[in-house]
Parts: sequence; structure tokens; C-alpha cells
Amino acid sequence: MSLEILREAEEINQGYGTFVTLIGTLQKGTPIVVKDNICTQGIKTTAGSKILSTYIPTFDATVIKKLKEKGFFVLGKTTQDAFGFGSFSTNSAYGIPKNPVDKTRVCGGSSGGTASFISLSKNVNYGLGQSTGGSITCPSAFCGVVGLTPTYGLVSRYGLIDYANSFDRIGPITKTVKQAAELLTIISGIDEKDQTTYDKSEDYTKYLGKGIKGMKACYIKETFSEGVEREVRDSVLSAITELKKKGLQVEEISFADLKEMVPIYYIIAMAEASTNLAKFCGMRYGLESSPENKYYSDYFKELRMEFGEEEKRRILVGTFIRMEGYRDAYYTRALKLKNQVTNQFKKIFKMYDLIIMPSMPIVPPKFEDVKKMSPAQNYMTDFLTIPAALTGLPSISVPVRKKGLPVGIQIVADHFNEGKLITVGDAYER
Amino acid sequence: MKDKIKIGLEIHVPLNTRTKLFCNCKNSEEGKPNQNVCEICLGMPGAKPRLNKEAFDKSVILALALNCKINEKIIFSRKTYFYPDLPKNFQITQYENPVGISGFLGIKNKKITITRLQLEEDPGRLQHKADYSLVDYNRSGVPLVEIVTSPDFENSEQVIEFIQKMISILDYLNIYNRHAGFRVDVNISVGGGNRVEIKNISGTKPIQKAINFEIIRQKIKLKKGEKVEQQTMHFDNETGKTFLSRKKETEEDYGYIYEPDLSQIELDKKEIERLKKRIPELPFQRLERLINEYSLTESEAHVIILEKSTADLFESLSKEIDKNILKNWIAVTLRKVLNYNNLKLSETKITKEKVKELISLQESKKITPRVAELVLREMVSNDDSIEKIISRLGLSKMENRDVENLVTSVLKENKLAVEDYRNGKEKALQFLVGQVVMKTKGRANAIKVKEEILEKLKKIN
Repeated sequence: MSLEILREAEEINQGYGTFVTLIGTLQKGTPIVVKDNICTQGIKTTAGSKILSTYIPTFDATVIKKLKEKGFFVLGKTTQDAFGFGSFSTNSAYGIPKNPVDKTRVCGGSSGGTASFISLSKNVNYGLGQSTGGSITCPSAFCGVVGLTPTYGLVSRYGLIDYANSFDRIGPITKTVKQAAELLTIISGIDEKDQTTYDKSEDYTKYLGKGIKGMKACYIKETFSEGVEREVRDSVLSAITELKKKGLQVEEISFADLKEMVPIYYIIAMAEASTNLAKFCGMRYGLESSPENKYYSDYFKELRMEFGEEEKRRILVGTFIRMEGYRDAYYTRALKLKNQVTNQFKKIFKMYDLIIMPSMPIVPPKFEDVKKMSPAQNYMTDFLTIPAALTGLPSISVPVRKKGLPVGIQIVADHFNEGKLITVGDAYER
Repeated sequence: MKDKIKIGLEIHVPLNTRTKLFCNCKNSEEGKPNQNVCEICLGMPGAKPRLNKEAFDKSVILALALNCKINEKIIFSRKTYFYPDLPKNFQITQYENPVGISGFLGIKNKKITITRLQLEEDPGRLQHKADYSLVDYNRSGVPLVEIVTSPDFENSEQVIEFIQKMISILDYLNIYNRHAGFRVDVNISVGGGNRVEIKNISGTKPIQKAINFEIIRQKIKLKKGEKVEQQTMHFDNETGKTFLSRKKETEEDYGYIYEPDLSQIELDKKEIERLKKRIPELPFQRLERLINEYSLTESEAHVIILEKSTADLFESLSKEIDKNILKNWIAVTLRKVLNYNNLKLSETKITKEKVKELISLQESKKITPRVAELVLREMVSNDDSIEKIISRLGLSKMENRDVENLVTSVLKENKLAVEDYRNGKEKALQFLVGQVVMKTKGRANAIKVKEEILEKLKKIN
């Protein structure tokens, strides 16, 4: 079995570019593939960036430690957008992963390598992704697999290379909702090494196989209108019909300011990202060059030229947002709006158990079309995943199409209500 | 008003916690460079900070002792700047919501406003060599409290009084890592002109020297009709001069954001009350009480309360030993020995019991005050019994005959001085006494020696 796993992984990697590092030795236990921004002791961890091409962590992330204790082994570290900066995994310094259904199309991002590989592999069912603005939901929807983004604070971020600490979350990418529930049960829980975690972990498998009669959901009108492709809309609406048949109550609501959340999210995310990326300067770890005859600031400047274009863009924009004179207008204001939006969602959850919307507004685009997109257009494709990202709400993406290009349905629940997501997702799969 | 001087301070106080502010590394600069480090204080990718409760509590206790208002929400922030001693290229500090605000500390005839008190991490330590620099991250992540005052000081004397008072409070609260030393940034403006910041001065003497130098420098500039520029300077203790810093720090934009890895802290009243209870009687309160209760003079009381442990010693022995003897002993003899060794009483091996024994030996004339002091010096680092120390140092009491013999030989050796004395020079007698006492290593009582000498001189006559 083990040899077969390695052979298959090698083959998929060659065809689809899913790994930065593939561990080529036989190991005991259950294989799992891990996004390359999650630290693995002794295994190179690049976060998809050239600047970390030589970083070998001296410690395991808390999630990795927990998985090892439960008999998992890391089969490989998967390709991603550098530091999670992207929606299509095309900002990768280690090869661009391809869509499992159509190689001319993207597999989504930023956890693209994990989603593509889980979709293609016959042997490996478990993968770890990580989301800041939708990086679990997006590739899961584009690759036709299940992606679960847990409530902010349910899973420890210790050992995760930061993009935007206020939003970063580690979560399962799997073939089935059941596997996602199993994985979440293992990786969740309070961690003294991450002070933003809560003691809210449960055995999530107990939410499997339950009926959904009596559960109340709503869908936001605006998530099925402007900017959402017809085939996405049709697939998700027919999935909602199926859920209704199984007993879910569904009502329509309106949420006018949905797209306003995109700039709020990006302002905070980039402000944080630009401070997180300050540490990469060619000292202590990662890429280095010769310091001969250079003043330290010149050395730092020169080395930081090695960042990719999107990394540079976010450092510049993020630094601008934090500058005196702009900080209040952008950063401080965005933080206030974030709280307002969160309260708006909390109100919805007083009336409904769940909010349903499409995972992504589009089907996986072709590489050539992505190239033509401006950064702003690119960021707008996140408008359906950003509401849950901004507010720390948990969500699950479940594939709703058996044929053609994959489409996902996104279900969002109130904080720490992952159980409801699993119950509904599992009911839909049956 | 033209020469009005305004001085403000930023004092950085390293806390004496067991571990660093955001990780479990030892808070100690002892040992080899880069020994007390881990992924967190080295800022390795993936590592996250976690707040040290002990350090946080100590910062709140200090804020309360300095009459600060504790913020309802206490939040950490990131201050971004690139420097090789700063592993993350941002420092976790506080910006909008520090631990304490609007406190004060009184000095003579003046109340100094403390605008803010914040908790932050120290960077590593740079060591510059001829054509390269070394970094030691043992200090990286050490908890620092930064105390910022209003520009309320008018001269260096007030600053020094304030700092000494502050050190004394830190000692009483037992929160300060004295050996790491505090560092002070001083802001000075003369005659309403621009503010000049002198960074990173340690020690009271250099601080005083730097302030005095800078005031004169600015005054001279103003007299010449020149403008004082707003700039950052450093102080060279060797030359006693301030000089311009290479980095233009006043122009820097630190781009503060909240530290998203640390949740905000909201202290409830109960918790604040609990921490308040950990504040002992503070030095200035004790000063008043000792003056009233033991009728000490202000200067005596001041020396005794300087350190909590010496004040404790005074109060606990005052029931057993005559107060007048005791106060001299602690304010003069003990203080001298401690200052000489640059140690606090609690850092020595001197115990209450031994001090009591030593004083009673001295009082019963079994040893001279000089011998008592020599023994006390030994006691600093040695926990042998007093008896053992006395005999080891050869300080046991001299027999009268021994003193007589010494006097005889000193008189023989110093015929010139004897001659002088006979010719009416009183000073010569003092010299002869001194010679004898020196030979006894202080074991002989000077008055007795003098009597003996006079006796002998008479006899020779």
C-alpha cells in the first residue's frame, strides 16, 4: 500500500504540480498532505515563497504535533500562492498546481496544491489547507472536494507562517464531510502556544448522520445575482432544492453591503501582512546573500527584492495603510467596520442556523484568463468567501456537481457551530 | 521665560521575571551569547508570542504604585522598524492602550506627571567590531516597562531625584532587574525651542552629565542667535559630550498596528484590587513613618529606607538594640559596605542575627568599630560565623601587653615624630596613634592607644 501511495503521489505531482516537497520514504500510519505554510520539523517549509526556499523549521506546528500523535504522517508539503497571497495558486515560486478536471484551468487558491491532490488521489483522503480570505473554500470548490474553515480560534495557528493573523485559520480539505469531521476533531482545541484559541473542541463525528429537519437556513439574495456566473447559480440553487427536500427550511434575505467587505478585509489583511513580511530580510533563516561591504539596510533592501510581485504589492499597500495620516482613514476605520459587519451577521444567526451561498462566483477560470485580470478584479473574486473570513465565522464548502467543471455550495454557521455545518454537509452528501 | 528649561524622560526598566515576556526562555543575560533563545524570541516563521502573566502583573503593580489609571482595555501593538537586533523587524509594544496612563510621582516641591506606562519587549544586543557586528539575542524578548513623563523637570537635579526615587520604588516592589540596569531617553528643550532627544543613557551620573551638557549646548546656540534643531542625539560618557545620532529617528514612521496574536486584556476591579494588595508600604510612606515613629532625622531616615531590606532590618532590630546605635550602624556602616560592593542587602549573606551579634560585640567593647566594619565586609560574601571570621582575619582582641609592646616599638621607629610632639606639634601625636592602630589592624581602641602613648612618653621623660 505504502509504495503505491508514493508512486501515485509522484505521478500526480508530475502531471499537476501539487507539491513543493514530496517525502519519498515509506512511513507508517495515515498519509496527510499539508499546505506549505504550516511548519513541519525537519521538513522544508516555504509558504510558497522563494524567500523561504531554505527554511527548515526546528519545530512542528501544533496541528502537526496533534496529527502525529494520532498516527498520521506528512506525505508532502503542497504548492500554494506565496504566503497565501492569491485566489488561484498562480503566485507560487514552486510550480503552479493545475485543476484536476481541466489542466488548462486553475485549481483555486491559495491552498491549491492540497485541494488538487486530494481530488486526484485514490489513496489519500486527508489534507490540511489554510484560509485567510477564503483559501480553503475557493480551491475546494474549484477542485470538487470538501473544505472546512473552522471558527477563528478553534484550531491553533501555532506554527503557521502568518499572512494576516486576525484572519488566518487552518482547516481540513478532504474527499467527504465525514473525513473533514474526523480531521477537525483531531486538530481543534485550546493551545497555550496560541493565545487566540478557545476551549471549544468537540467530537465532530457525532454530528454525522443526523437529520436536518427543523434546521433553519437563509440564503442571501445578493450572492446569487450580479457577478455570479449562471452555471454556478443554477447548480447551487438546485442543491438548495435538494436540501429543502431533506427537510431544511430555507428563506431568502437581503444583505446589501456584501461587496463592501472586500476592501475592509484587504485593508486589515495587507496591513498585518506587511508587518509579518518585515522579518524576511536574509538574516537567521531563509534566503541569504553576501553581506560583504554592505550596510545592513542596503543588505535587507537587496535581499527583499527576491519577493514575488504580489508579495511586493501587499507590502507596499499594507505599509501605506499603516502610515501616519492614512492609518486612521484606512486601518482604524476598517477595524471598526469589521466589528459592525460581525454584529450584522450575529443578528442573522439569531434567526437562522445557517447562511447558504455559492462558494465562488465563477467556475475555475483558464490560466490565460487569470493573466488578464487586474489585481482589483482578482480580489473581487473573493467577495463570497470574505464575509465569513472577515467575521471569523465557520464555513464548509461541499461539491454540488457530479459532471463538468466543479462548483461548491458554501454553508456558513455562527461561531463554534461547526457541528451544524457537518450535519448539513453530510446530509447533502447522502 | 526665555531660558525656561523643559525636560521629559522615557525610562526603560527591565523586569526581574523568571522568563521572557513572550516565551519560556530564561530572562538572563548570563552564559554564552544566544544561549537563552527559542523560535519565539528569534522570531522564526510560524512562532507566536504568548504573554507572560508574571511580567504583566508586575507592570500593573508598578502602574498602580505610580498612581496611574489602569486602561480598561490593554492592547499590544506592533512597532515596525528594520534593525538587526530586532528579530521580527517589529517590536511588540503598546501604543493606543498601554497598561497605565495619567500617573504621577512627587519630588521636592513638585509633582511629575507620568503620561504613560507600557509593557514591551527588549531587542537583542549588538556588539560592533572593526568591520562587522555581532548580535546576541539573549536579551531579545526581555520584559521592559517604559515610563514616560511630561516635560515637567527644570534641571538635572530634579531628574536625578526622580530617578533615585523611582529606583527605590522598584526595589520595594521587587520587580526590577537591577543588574540589567535601566536606560533613559531624555528630551530637552530650552527657551521654548525645539526638543532634542538624547537616547539610551544608563546610570545617574551620565544622565546628569548629559543633561547639563545639552542645556549648555542649546543655550550657547540660542545666544548666538542660532536655531536648535529637533534631533536625536547620543551621549558619550568618555568625552562627556552629546553627539548627533546617525539615524534620523524623529522622522521615522513606525506604522503601528494592533498585535493580532495577543488578545486584548480587560482587567476587572477585583483583579486590580488583588494586584494592589501586592504593593507594600512604599519608600516615601515609610520615610514619613520612620521619622515620626523613631524620631529619626530626615537624612537618617532617607538612607535607611533607600532599600526595603535595610529598612526592614532597622525596624526588626529596633526592639532589641538601642535605636541610636542601630540607626548609625545601618545608615553609616552598613550603607558604606553595601555601596562599596554595589549590592543590595538582600543580595548579600548578611543576616539579621549576625548584625545583631556584631553590634552587641561592638557595644560590649569586645571588638572595635573598625573591626566590626572589617567583619561586616567579610560577611557580604561569606557565611562563616563571626567568631571564625575574626580569628581568620587575625582580628581577635589584643591583650594590653601586646598594645604596650607595639607602642614601644612605634615610638622607637618614629623618633622624629616623638621629637616633634615634644616641640609642641599635636599632629605628631595623631600620627603616632595612627601608626599603632594600623599595626593592630584596627583591633586597638584609638583612645586607649593615645593614653598608652602619653603614659610611655611620660615614663621616658
